[in-house]
Amino acid sequence: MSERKKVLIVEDEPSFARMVGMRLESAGYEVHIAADAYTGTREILQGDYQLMILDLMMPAGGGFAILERIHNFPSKCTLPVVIMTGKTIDDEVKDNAEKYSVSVIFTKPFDSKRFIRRIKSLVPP
Amino acid sequence: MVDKHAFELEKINEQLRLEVAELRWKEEALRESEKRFRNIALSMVVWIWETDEKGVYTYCSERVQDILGYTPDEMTGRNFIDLMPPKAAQRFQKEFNEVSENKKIIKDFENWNLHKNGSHICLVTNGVPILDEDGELKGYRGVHKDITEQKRAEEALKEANRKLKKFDRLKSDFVSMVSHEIRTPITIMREGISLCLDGIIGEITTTQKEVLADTLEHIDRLVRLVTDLLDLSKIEEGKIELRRSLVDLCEIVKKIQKNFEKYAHDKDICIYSNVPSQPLHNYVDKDKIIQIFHNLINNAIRHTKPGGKIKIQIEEKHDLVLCCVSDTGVGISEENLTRLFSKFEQFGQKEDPENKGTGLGLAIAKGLVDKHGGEIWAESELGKGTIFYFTLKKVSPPSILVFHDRQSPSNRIKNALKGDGYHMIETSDLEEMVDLTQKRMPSLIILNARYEHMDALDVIEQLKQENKDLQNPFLVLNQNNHPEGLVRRDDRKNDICFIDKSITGEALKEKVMDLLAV
Repeated sequence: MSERKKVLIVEDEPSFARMVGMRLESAGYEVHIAADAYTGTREILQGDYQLMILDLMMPAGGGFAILERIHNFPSKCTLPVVIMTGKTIDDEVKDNAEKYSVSVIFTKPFDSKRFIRRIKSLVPP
Repeated sequence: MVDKHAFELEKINEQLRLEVAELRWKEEALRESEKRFRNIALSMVVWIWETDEKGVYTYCSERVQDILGYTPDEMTGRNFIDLMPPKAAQRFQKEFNEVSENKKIIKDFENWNLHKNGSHICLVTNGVPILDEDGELKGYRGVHKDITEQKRAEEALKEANRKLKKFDRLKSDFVSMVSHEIRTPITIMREGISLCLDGIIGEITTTQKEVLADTLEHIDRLVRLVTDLLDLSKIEEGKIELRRSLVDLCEIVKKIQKNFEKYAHDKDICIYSNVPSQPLHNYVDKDKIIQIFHNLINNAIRHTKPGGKIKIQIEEKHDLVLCCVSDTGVGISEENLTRLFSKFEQFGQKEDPENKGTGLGLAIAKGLVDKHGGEIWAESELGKGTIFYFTLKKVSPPSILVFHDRQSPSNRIKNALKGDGYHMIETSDLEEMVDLTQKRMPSLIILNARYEHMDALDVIEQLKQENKDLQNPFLVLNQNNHPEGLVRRDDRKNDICFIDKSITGEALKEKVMDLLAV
């Protein structure tokens, strides 16, 4: 069976989700996409993912809403999380990132090669 | 006999005549006095009144008709509050009861009344109690002044202020929103091109690669433009906050030089620095200083031909730090020197998009230098080169007052902050702390959540009472494992921030920088 690591991308901009997905697939990950916070939460709780890549600005709560919900599940709150955001990283973002032990934050637009390198070091494919 | 009577009658007559004359004279004086009073009352803008001890009007001057539309006769017999709308009446009654009970004066009391035609009139009332020989209250006497116009103007001003604040907020929300809206499609464009360029979705020909690489460069330039626009907009709005820390400028310059070495080398430009041998410490916003240097150096590189030199230098000059970035580039003409720091001015740059500036770099640099209280200018000679100078005021880190418990002196926190260059003042005596706050005016006060006989909020309350102008922020150290630990939510309005005593050094440093950011 597939030995590839499973990654969930939660991003409401379909073109971008697809592109990031292509990069990750090419780097050797098995990619799944959720288009909103609700689907994302459901997927993470029901599925078996080794990494979550999260967009902050989404309808119905955004990225931190998902983290808030999975925070209470001990098996899920150790999940490595990478945040991508078009927002400027202000105090609120920093505080929340600290609260949910988010490993990495990238501001869009970012250098995708660096992005993949970072992910590979976080969760080797 | 008859003579004696006649003489006496004559005397009585004389007396009567005198008394009548006096009476007439007094009457005349009274008439004069009344006439004087009525003239004054008529010419006064205020309406003069008298009431009984219950507040029922016994007299009103003519002016009442202009102010409330009632004649003086119509007013007699009416109470103050009969002419007020219900809520205003309640308020006035309460005040009047209190005042009349204590026979006090009515001073500058504003009250809304109803004109005969139903419109609202605002009066300001002044009155004194009328007391009889026994000192008992018989009534009040005073004036009402019509301040409706002023009140309306005040309201309009407040409303205008509210609207202005709202608009201001909308404007900055708009800028952030626009920036996000612009970044989204740019991000997608960039990633799309990048995917193709990196061969991830199929092999590409050399020509395709070139075209795509070219496109990518322009997208990156667009990103820089948006970032710069956002920065500049924040500067212009005055929304930039300086997060200061004690930094060694020599170290920063050396680091920047290293960062630019490869880039300069690729263009065959030599970049070197000249810094004092001893550390040059200053309390500045590190990121912003780096940004200033970056903008100046990028500018220098853009205008310098291969084989040229760029020098970065800093030196202390009295109470200033003088920084400069000089190049052996094409130079700037005298007329262009005056337009140097304006937005979107670009002269004499090479055409490749990778190098092309946004035209905002110098404007941003100026904004950041200004914010630090410094000055920026340039000297140049066409064909020879340019030197950009900027000054920074020498600023020492502010003082922080720590009010600790005798039992637990929070040494770790103190030492961590001392290490960051802050001037630490400490005491465990409440009186001394209040005194020190006034004398030394610390920029931040650190308190424990709880002390022996009181908690942090009590201390803050006391400090604010002693010193009404107290503006500085407070940092309160919670002990979460303490049974009586005081865990509260940050009070942003009063600038009180709660953190856990076990906070890491780095996080503490950031928190303090945030609280002191201005």
